[in-house]
Amino acid sequence: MSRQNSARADGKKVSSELFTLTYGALVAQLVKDFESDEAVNKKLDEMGYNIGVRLIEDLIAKGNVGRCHDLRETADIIAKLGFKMFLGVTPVVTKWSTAADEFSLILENNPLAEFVELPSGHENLNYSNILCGVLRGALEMVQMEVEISFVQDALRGDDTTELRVKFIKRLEDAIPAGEE
Amino acid sequence: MDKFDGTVRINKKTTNILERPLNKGRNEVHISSFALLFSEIVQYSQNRVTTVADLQTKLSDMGKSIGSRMLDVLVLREKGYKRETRIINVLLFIKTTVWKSLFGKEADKLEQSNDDDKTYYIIEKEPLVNKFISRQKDKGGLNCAYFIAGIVEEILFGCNFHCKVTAHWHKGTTFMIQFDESVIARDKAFDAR
Amino acid sequence: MAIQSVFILNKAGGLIYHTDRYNSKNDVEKTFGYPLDIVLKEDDKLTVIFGERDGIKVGFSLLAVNGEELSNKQLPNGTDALDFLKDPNNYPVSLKFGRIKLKTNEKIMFASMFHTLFAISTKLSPEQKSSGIQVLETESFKLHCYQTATGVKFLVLTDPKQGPMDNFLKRFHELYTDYALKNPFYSLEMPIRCELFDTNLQKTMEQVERATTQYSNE
Repeated sequence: MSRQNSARADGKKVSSELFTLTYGALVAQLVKDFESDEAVNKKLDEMGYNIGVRLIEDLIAKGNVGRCHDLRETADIIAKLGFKMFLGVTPVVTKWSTAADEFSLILENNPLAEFVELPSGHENLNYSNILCGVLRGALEMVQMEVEISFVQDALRGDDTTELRVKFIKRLEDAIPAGEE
Repeated sequence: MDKFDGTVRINKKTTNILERPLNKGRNEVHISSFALLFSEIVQYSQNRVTTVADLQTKLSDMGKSIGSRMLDVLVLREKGYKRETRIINVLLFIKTTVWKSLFGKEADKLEQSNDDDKTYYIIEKEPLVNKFISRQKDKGGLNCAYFIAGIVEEILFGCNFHCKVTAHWHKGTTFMIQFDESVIARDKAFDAR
Repeated sequence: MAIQSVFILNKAGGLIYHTDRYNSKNDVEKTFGYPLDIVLKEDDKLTVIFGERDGIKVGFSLLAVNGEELSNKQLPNGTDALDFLKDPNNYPVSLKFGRIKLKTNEKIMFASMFHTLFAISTKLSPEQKSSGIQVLETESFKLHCYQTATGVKFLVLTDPKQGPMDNFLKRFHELYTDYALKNPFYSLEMPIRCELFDTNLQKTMEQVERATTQYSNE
């Protein structure tokens, strides 16, 4: 505990409890403000996107990452660097499609959803949908268009939490000169 | 030992969550994750209000929903903790225990107002939520630390100390806690005993 | 002073941040008698074109007359500076010359031209997949550029003798991610007006200066 407190004191880490509760307060507010679960999911995805396009600069600035040249490398960086650095968990990369253009991230622990129970009547709520937006936004900034969705969610009684990442295309026109 | 049933909401469908000790709360995430999430919350709230005062109320309300959950967790986790009955003790509880579990440090200072026995100040030079947020010159005295003020207000409320907590730009950020008359009267009654 | 100015260019080459560390030690102030033996050319400013003396170099501009700063070639009382200098009664006169700072509009234009130049440099490369300009050297300054994978450019102009600025540029980028991007009131791609960004950048630049001074004293 003393070690962790010193990591917090140097200003790089915050209590995951505060983070989880803050996220919970946001979702609760959205559920109050929007009519349908679908609208909440959409808003969470939008907010995630806004976070993602900024978070990627953090990863580049503080994580010493170079440009990826294939999806396996990208998947590795997302899991071992991105998730590890920002959420303190390392998802398992698995279930590659034969064309190697799709994979899954399996989250053993989901720091957004710790101690959370979905309220009844919100069966369509994708509680952690913000993660889809974050990944979509971050990857778009490094000129990759992807589709992301939850295929399993432990919050809904699935065995585990699984995010599916599907590569659509490289955004050639957006690649800055000197970066191809 | 009893688990946290009824106090912290748990996922009924996943069994292993029951096996986890409550101390699991000592995990950490990167400050950037929190800062960007908080920034989104501020932007979202700002888009739904028209005045600085309303924005601060929104942030405070968001903080309140965290405060009530945090209190439950803290009371259980800090072994043998009893809810405080005296003003000074409950304020020290906020300054030390609450601050440490939320921000990993004690609050910088706790002071009582010189000319008003209902008013106390908790002073924090650089509150976590303001670490990256520059003061906005075009937004009057807007202080996003109203979010923390909301947390504090709700915890005090949960301990039966009714009060109003506001956040001001003074020595960094100063949280002004103004207790209800009834709270002060009760505290004085303790002294008389 | 090692660092002269810093810039941030957004993905489209738009200037979103700039600040100068103005070097006033090169300014020269001297008292002159009539007639003035320095030839000034008048365009949007008054520039020395002939008559270099006492450290006043060709290319310097007239900054102040008798301690009063010029604005638009005029004295604070509205008198045209050239007219004032034609009148023998105004002598002896004390004149201050130095490099005039670029106007914001000029900087915006140069930023966008640099953006294009950067793109051209990648095309000039004999090899595929070359980076763009990383360092550009002249007799009087050195430009260091760092472009992130997202296409934002961080530029710093330094003394020509300055060594690599990689650490500074990395730190500069970090400050941008912290104090601009994490500020809910900052909009992406727009000019950065964040007090905490300014103050932390100043601190970082001062650290670099101190480190460089130490190094050159050794």
